Amino acid sequence: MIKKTLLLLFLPAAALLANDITVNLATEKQLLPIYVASWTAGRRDPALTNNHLRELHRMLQFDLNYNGRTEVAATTAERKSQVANERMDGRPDAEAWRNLSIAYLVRGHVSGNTLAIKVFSASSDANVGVYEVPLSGSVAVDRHRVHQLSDTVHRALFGTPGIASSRILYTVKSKTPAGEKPRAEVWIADYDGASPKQLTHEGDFTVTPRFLPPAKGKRSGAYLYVSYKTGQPKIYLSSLDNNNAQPLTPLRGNQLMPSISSDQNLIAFVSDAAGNPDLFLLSFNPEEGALGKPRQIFSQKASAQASPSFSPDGSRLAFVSNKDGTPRIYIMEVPGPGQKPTGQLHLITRRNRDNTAPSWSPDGKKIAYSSMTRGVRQIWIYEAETGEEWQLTHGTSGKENPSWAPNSLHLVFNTATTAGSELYMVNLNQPKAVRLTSGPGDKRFPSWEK
Amino acid sequence: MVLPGCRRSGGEVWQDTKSCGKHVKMGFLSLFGSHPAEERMAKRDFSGEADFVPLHDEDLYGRVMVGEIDADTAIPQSGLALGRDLPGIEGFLAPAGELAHVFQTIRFDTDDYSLRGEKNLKCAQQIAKYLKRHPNTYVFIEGHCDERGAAAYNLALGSRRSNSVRNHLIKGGVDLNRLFTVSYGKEKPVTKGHSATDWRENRRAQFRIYERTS
Repeated sequence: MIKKTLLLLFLPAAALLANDITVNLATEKQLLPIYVASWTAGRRDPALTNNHLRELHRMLQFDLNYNGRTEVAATTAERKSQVANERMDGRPDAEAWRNLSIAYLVRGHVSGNTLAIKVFSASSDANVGVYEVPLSGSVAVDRHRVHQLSDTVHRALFGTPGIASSRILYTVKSKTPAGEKPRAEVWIADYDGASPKQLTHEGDFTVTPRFLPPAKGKRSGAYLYVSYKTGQPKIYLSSLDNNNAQPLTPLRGNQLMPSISSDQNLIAFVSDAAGNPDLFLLSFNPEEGALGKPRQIFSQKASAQASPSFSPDGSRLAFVSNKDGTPRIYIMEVPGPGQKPTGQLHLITRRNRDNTAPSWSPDGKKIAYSSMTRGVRQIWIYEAETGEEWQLTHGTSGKENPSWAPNSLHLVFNTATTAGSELYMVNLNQPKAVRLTSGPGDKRFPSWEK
Repeated sequence: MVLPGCRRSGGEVWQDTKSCGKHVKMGFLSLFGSHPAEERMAKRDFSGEADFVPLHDEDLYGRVMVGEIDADTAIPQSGLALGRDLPGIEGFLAPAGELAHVFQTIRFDTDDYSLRGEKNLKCAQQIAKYLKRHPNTYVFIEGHCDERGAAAYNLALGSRRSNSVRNHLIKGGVDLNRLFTVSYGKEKPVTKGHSATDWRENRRAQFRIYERTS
């Protein structure tokens, strides 16, 4: 059981009900209350309509409400009044804001083509930062800029990068009549589910896409995915900008569930080239593609292997195998080139019988996976240091395919119900999931850009 | 003909333009005529690469469970290729008429991936007999699961079922070059209901046939 301490710094006792404390203690780390005041506007570019600005303001609030560190405080009459009494170019009354249970205050003013933002810390009675965001009036462009602003503010507040500018890959499966071949395409969206865009147009069935890790300081430019367009599932490599998918390896048979190491030197995947769904390893180079022959690295008669996931240093693989009867998650050492696998496996899922879809966190400290828990698949976390497993999600919808955000705090996963599948986001400090997608089709196999 | 370029948009860059150019060139070549993936591979000169490095017997951990045929037979990495010497899967048809009687659907129990039961064993026997008599018949073996397992894991289980049938047929003397596998996991059910009967219908291996004339 994870022990959590409740920080009662900014919350006057009168504001808390006994019930609230009991519920929150068990499930949530205390989030710092941030107040995002409505923006004022002077003379501005006609492209910056009220609706447009309202949407951007809503996005900023979303980013600051679901970053796992701050929580947007409600607009109350007192807080509105306090804002009205303070000039934006003046100094906020830190004590007054603390009394209103606010840790950080965000104010904004739109003038011309620019959104000026000021972030003030009531606890330290000091400005955190002053920012100028150029706005274009185009939703696509301005979304990106506001997300970048959120990340900048996050870094200023906490010293670590935010995730608001990151993206998620996933597949959307269309409804087809029973017995007909399945259809799904690869899509990409912002981390909050906005701006969804279809990437593949194969008219066939795709599964398990994965971003290639980006070059330092850049966004990811490419991805791997599996397509059934030639009949058997094969792994393809494609760029995000152009629909120029290339097969990864000519290895015959079925190829499924690729995972790429952070340094991009290795791709692990499942193939039945040896007559059984086994783990294979392929040396890789983003410039030249696959190098040399794929190596079979794990097999056991009459077993099925699935869903390999590299540790961030590329030295180990987590994967699913039912070799001991039911699907469990094991860790193996990645054999070096020319090296034989040691055969040593470390079992990490001891609590539950039915475990799938491991995802190793970028900081190497945790593995997220899906476990059948009292009849419902939930997302669980394995702590690498202590060997503990704990249940992150609750609720009645089955959840599968967790994928970590680059901050090792947030996860995206898909629900799996008879009604369909949608993507949800959750983080270790806010276990209540936020829905990211809607509309027709089953959204599955999310991969968070990292 | 406009060459799809390596557009830079904002901060989004293909790993570097050199590699992008290489891949764009590949895509460009494929614009001339409809080359199946395999032939594109041949153009890239994968000679010597069209196979894999297997684990040796001593590296295969644990032995076979009771009831399972002791044979994992690798898929040949040379010889007749799908989409080149043989059609792609769309050229393999659902067995009709006489063939439907031979190539019946094989069924599986829950959490079971081996060929069991008198009916299934007889069916496999029948199929093996037919295939040995008809050396120009090629078969795709589809492996399927019911809806209850996790989606990604079921893709592997479907492969387990189709390979189980394939291995059984090979053990029965069928030429391994004429048997192809495809896993659909739980993605292609024959019935969308949620009862035990529906689940039983969906746990199956199905066959698609191609009869080569030459």
